[in-house]
Amino acid sequence: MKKILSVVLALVFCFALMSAATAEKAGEGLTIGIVYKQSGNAYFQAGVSGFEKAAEELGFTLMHDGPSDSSNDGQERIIRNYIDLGVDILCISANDAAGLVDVCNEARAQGIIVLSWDAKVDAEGRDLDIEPASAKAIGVQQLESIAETMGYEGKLAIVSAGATAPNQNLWIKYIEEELEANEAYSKIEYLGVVYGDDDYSKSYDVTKALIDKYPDLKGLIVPTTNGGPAVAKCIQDEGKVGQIKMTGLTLASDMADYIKAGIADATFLWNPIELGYVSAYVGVALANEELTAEVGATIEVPGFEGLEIIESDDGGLILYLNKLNPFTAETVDAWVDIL
Amino acid sequence: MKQKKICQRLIRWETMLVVLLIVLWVVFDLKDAASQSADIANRKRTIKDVFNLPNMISGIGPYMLYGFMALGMTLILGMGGIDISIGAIGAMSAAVMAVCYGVFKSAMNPSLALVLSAVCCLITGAACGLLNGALITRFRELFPMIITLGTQLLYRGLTYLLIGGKPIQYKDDTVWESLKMLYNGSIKVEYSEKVLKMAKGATEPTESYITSTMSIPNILLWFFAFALIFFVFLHLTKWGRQLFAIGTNREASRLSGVRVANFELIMYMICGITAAISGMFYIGSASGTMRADALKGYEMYAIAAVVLGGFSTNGGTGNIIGVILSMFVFAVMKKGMGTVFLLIENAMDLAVGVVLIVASLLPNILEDISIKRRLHRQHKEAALS
Repeated sequence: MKKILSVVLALVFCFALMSAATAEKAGEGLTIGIVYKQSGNAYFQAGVSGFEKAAEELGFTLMHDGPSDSSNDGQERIIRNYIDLGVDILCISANDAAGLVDVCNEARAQGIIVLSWDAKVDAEGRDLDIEPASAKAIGVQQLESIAETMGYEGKLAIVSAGATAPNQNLWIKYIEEELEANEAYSKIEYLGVVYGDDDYSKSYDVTKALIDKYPDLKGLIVPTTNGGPAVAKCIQDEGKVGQIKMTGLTLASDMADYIKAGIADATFLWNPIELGYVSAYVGVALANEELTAEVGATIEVPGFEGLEIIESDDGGLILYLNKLNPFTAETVDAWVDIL
Repeated sequence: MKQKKICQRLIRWETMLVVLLIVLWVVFDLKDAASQSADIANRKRTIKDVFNLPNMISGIGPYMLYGFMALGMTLILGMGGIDISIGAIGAMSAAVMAVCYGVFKSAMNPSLALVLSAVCCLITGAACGLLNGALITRFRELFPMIITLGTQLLYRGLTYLLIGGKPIQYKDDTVWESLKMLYNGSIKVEYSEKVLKMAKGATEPTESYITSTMSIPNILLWFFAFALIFFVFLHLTKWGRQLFAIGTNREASRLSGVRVANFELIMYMICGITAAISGMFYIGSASGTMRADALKGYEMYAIAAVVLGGFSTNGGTGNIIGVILSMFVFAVMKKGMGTVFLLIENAMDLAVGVVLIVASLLPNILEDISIKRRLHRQHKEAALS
């Protein structure tokens, strides 16, 4: 009886293997070489796990490596090794956007698709750059989140980094535009921006001043990872937990305690796993010539909508995931070791 | 008599490096062939040689960056000193060059600006080397290792002060980008390469030939040129003999009329200049950008290459040929580990470390054995008489 059972099981197993082998996957026979900024960095390992997830679905093989010292020449050595190994697609998170242009062009001359993910390679050295979110998406998503928390009414302010910080100012510009343009936010009273200069005690002080001035403040947006914990601590120290809520771009590890204490319903950062996952799909589609790298081209990736290649500021091509990852009381613990 | 013995030992050492190189090559080649046939069995993609001479030469650039530093380091190790600040000197000189070019090019013809900024780069390297040398010759009671550890941090800090955390680059500036020609290959050689492909349903792979291009990186040629100069200096001039004499016995050299302190000062300065040259090549290798953390840890690679090349850290012995060979040993080893054995970058350092330890222990062990044998013989002779 046991013998028969094992024979049957073995047969079933064989059939399963054969059917798996016959089903042609899109990435079958392709190899992706992933190069990240440095090895031993949890953020990039999370990114690689996104590639691995895609590899299970698409059937490509992957290699990944990064230099220990975040150096440009370390990345060059790895890229050259991958060229010799005959990879079809390179996905690079560059330590030095301009520094890898020459070696990337050598790779492209041999027919290798060169994508950059997370940190770009300059326009002249890449086929496509894949980034988490456009400045507009980052701004608008934070606003949406805090507005929902506030019940779409009450006083709202922003605690930013430095007054000249280009990223933050761009995001704030889009937040302000959205506040003006969108009817849903008409009952929100926007108080403006204060600057904590990415310094813990300064961020704490300006937040305290803000709370003293507007005792009925309801919401704060902190679009800088350095400011987030200071603002949360200030809300906690002032005994305003529950009345004032915040959101922002933060690291999970910085904010886990405050999120669980109810100071923020959700804070955001991009998700490196999704970034790797989409990069793999895009790379395979480009290699199979199902996708051409040009403005307006779109690609279907499971779980994502509206992925479209557009022109980037540096004159190259870029694709945004436009999806930030929320850290909530339920999810934050899973992210603490990664971000 | 003694001269000849040292000579013999050197010849032996270089032969050993050649043997090591050949062994590495054969191992990588065999492993490559083995993984190719495994790949064919799995019916994956077209199969090409991964590890072969053209690939090795085309990709040798990044492994040659510290070659100039290694040549400079031979002077220091030959005298029994050490300088671990050369990585930082290279970075600082290259940073000075990048900044100077930005200043000069608004005032004059860009080609002239490039030449002048290159001069500034070399002067910076020389000045840093001079400071090292001055401190080391002035304060004999301190280890050169400690002094240059201090100056290393100093120079690296100055580099950050000078250019900050952001890379410097001059986009679309063809004159500046001509620096790339220092590094990249301009000599292309075409050759015919065998590729294997498994057709669908076939049992035997089909062979075909494609034309591939090998480009010889200019940095390799520059390295040979510099190595020749250093060979002549160290082994064919009186200064070379003085240098090794200082390494063997500093006091005796001083008493026999060598101006040791001055000599050392100049050697540290030349070492600084070679670091600056490495810095210039670094800019070329990084497509014309300069970062404050460039060349970090390169002093250790350079020292490793020089020690593996047969230079004793006690000074007095060594040969440039050995250093050239050891540069190739490291390049072949890292390339092979990375491409054939698919080791990650960090793990490669392990293999380098093992080779280095064995290489630096081996001469001592050999010497121990020969001393024991000699004592044994003397003992015997004494017993006989």
